[in-house]
Amino acid sequence: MSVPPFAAHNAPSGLFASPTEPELVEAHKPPKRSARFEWVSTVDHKRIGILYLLATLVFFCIGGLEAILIRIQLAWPGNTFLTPGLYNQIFTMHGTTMVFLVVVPLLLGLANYMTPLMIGASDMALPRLNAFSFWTFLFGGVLLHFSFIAGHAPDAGWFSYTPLSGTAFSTRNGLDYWALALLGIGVGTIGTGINLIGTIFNLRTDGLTISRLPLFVWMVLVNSFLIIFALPALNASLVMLLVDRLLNAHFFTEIGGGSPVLWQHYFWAFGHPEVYIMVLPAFGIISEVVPVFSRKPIFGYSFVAASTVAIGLLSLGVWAHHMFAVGLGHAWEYAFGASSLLIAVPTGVKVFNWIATMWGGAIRLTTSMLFAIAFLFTFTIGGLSGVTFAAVPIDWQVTDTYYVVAHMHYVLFGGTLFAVMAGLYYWFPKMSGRMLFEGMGRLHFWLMFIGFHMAFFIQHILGLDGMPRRVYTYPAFPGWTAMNMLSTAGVFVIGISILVLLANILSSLRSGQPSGPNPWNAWTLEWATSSPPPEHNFETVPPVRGRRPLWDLAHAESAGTARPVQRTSTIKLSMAFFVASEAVFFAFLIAAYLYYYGATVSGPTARNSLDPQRTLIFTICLLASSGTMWLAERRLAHARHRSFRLWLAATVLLGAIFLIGQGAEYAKLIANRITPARNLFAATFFTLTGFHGFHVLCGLISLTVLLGLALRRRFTEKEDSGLKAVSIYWHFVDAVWIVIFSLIYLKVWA
Amino acid sequence: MSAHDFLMSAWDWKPSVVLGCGLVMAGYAWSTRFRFSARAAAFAAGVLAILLTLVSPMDELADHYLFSVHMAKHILFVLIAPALLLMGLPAAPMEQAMRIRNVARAERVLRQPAVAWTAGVGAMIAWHIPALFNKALANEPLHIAEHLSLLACGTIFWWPILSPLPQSRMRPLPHAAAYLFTACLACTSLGIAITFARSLLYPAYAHPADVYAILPLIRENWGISPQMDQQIGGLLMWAPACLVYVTAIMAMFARWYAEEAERKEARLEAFE
Repeated sequence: MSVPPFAAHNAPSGLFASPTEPELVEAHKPPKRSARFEWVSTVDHKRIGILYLLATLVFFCIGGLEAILIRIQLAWPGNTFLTPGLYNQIFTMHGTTMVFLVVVPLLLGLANYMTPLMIGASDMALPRLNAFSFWTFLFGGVLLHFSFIAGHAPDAGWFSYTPLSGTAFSTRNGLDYWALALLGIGVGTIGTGINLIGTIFNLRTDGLTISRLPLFVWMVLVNSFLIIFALPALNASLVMLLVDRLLNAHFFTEIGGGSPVLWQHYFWAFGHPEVYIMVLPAFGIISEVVPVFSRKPIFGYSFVAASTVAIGLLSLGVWAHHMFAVGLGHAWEYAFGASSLLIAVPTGVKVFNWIATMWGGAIRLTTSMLFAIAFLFTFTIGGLSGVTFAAVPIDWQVTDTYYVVAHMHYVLFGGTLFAVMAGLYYWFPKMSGRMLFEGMGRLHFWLMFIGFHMAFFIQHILGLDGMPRRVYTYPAFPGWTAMNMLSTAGVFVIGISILVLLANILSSLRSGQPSGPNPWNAWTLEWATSSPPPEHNFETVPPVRGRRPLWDLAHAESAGTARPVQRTSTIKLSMAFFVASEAVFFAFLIAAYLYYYGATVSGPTARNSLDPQRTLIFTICLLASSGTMWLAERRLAHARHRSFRLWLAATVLLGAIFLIGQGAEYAKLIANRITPARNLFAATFFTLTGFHGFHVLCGLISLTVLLGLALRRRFTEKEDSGLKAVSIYWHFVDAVWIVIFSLIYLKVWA
Repeated sequence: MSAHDFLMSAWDWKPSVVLGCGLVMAGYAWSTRFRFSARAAAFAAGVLAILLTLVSPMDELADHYLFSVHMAKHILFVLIAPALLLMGLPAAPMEQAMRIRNVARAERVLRQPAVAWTAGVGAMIAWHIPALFNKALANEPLHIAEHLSLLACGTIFWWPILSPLPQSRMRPLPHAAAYLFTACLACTSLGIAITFARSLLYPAYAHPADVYAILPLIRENWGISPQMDQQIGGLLMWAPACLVYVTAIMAMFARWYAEEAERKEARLEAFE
């Protein structure tokens, strides 16, 4: 389909200016809706990206205000500004907000806006999923903050260790909001991860091979893989926490044989990759900004790309270094201390890549570049203090002190947020069509840089001096008052810098200098279209013959060729990654079942309360439904619509029989007073089979919708791909049941 | 007995092992005309790894005292030695071997990723099922079969990655990387299962027959209880084994990158 050139792209510049649409689309356009409705109903990746950025800005301001409250409370010893209980809520909300509602979605928002532009695509692979992901994330964020209104915000810290987060110690419902909100955010985040993978694999313009991808896109790709493999671990642990809290089970409490340490394993199995989820895209931003403002290509492109993969892989297996103080035993500590030290290697060499890129370059010290250099400086400090935790004795000494607080702020604020600021000053002209004011930008930079180091450097020393984190006040030990006061003053300086940033954004939107398509003379594809880009992004995508397409346009002699990109079916690809992510979720629940199998001391067990023969019948139904599904697809491929409908109906019927069978089993168990609260077997059994049943139900609803459509009309290509997606999901659900059935009912492993 | 005495005395130069390794090495040297290269070094390292695992005190420790050392032995057999041997294989004799129809046919089957993956991962998992592992400890022929099958399955596993014949190798990205990543996940799961197991899975190591009188040394001086021993074994399967896979994945990136550069060069030449 060729899009007719639309001559006058005279869109009023500005963040909220709705870009004019090409005439072709004009003809089919539905009646004009209000601008507000268009923002709410949009599936355009640029608008969703901006929605992400706006939402995170709001959450950032809330989290920042909470930080200011914390620092006022800690400004001098014995302060009574906040009550201890309120202090707990505030620091928990600060941590949770900044991690889940600011840093991750901020990076996702940037990725959402920039990725399709940087690879010459017109939108994300699955635009509706994109909108769904954003709104789920926002819903989660609102739900989390609703806990304030509902009476009690969560107060067990951002990692909510059990048993503190159990009902015995957290009697109010703040923790329920926390878990539910994070589930929503987790689902949205996985959706965006899958979407980004599909986009990067399938929507690249011709010639943009993997080895030519902009490094930001590279990092977003690795990041998305981390998301889809790590977030399910969080979701599984949240589900178990909720079953504990709402159905009185004992996954994570000692009573009844549960294990609080398992929560720590599960949480950090997510939590450590999360650290890299929060920093990899920041590496990507730096890898874009530093070369452009040094007027040199990145030094060691392949190393930067490959080391990201190494970091991603290693990060999945080092979580236990968060748990050295638990007392796991020396074997654990040696293994995880050593593997954690290894991660520092690819990360450290990256820093040299960036420095080598600047070396001998014609450096332009724009605000963006200033932030990039500040990132290098601050992140290196944060990285080095991070390495110290891999040494077990040092970890024992400084864990849960302000040394940890200083470290993670150096990584997340001085690292990621500085990089995002570099990205904001770099890409704002692309998003709005106007430049941010450099003067105000510099003021913002210096205030933030100085304020940051004032606030957090001193915390290293406080921590080494023994000040524990998460205490609402402290005695007047020598030096502590002055150090804490300095830290508080620093936070206020950061606050002022944020006000300068907001002022800069607002005034630039109104009266900033128009930027034109490529204000920085940069090389990647996003600069080849107007600023802001039209709704379909590109009039024509320039040919890609190297890593710097716009440079190659001007220097034709240096360019390679533009080979077409290999593409696979987006539906199959996305479903494959979705299923992989779901498999991780079930793997964690199954692991919990196996882990607790030996711990069930009394009460019902799989042996004396389940009926394998009866369940086998329903199992056969479910497995047969996979067969009928396959037959249905075959019939449709051969255009035999009648028998297609029959097989599809058979699939629905068999699936429904399975669900009814499971329902009957549940009814029998509950009638015998076997409920999740009874013992760990019952809790794990209901959680595992219940979530499987929920998946069957979702599949069944989708199949029924498809069946309804099939009865009304012939399938077009659109419904066809929908059927393919549901079928992959359905086979997956069956495969999971085979594992569950053989583990729980047949006990093949015991 | 002190650690030093044990390390000096517990060498068992089994003639079959020494002779076998010697013959393999001699055959290799003869077929490569005694030329020294990085390849030859890799091959020699592979043979040396097997030799040392079987004759050094490690073998005694593994078979009688420590599960963790036994695990290290298995990792050497299934992951490290076959990889080194394959890295050392020269292409020419292999190409000759492929001219034999049945060899070529078998190779075509075995190099299928699903087959090779199942062989490698399956052997690793199967031999650690407590029933089988315990039986192999008590039964010497079965034990030898265990080690040989680990070596063989390890070789089959690495063949699509490290074969000297380009047509046998998988595309480095994404195929080989996914192959290695999923294998890593499988081994990690096994490692996690062993590390977290509440009971002692391999009872022979709980009360070893103390032939060398080093049990007090192990339990008290080294401080390794049977539980800790099992944990170390699980962790070895988990972390270091994973690092082997991660290293291989990174090597796949390097290979893919080199191929990409080669293609670019070929295009430029065609252009001129």
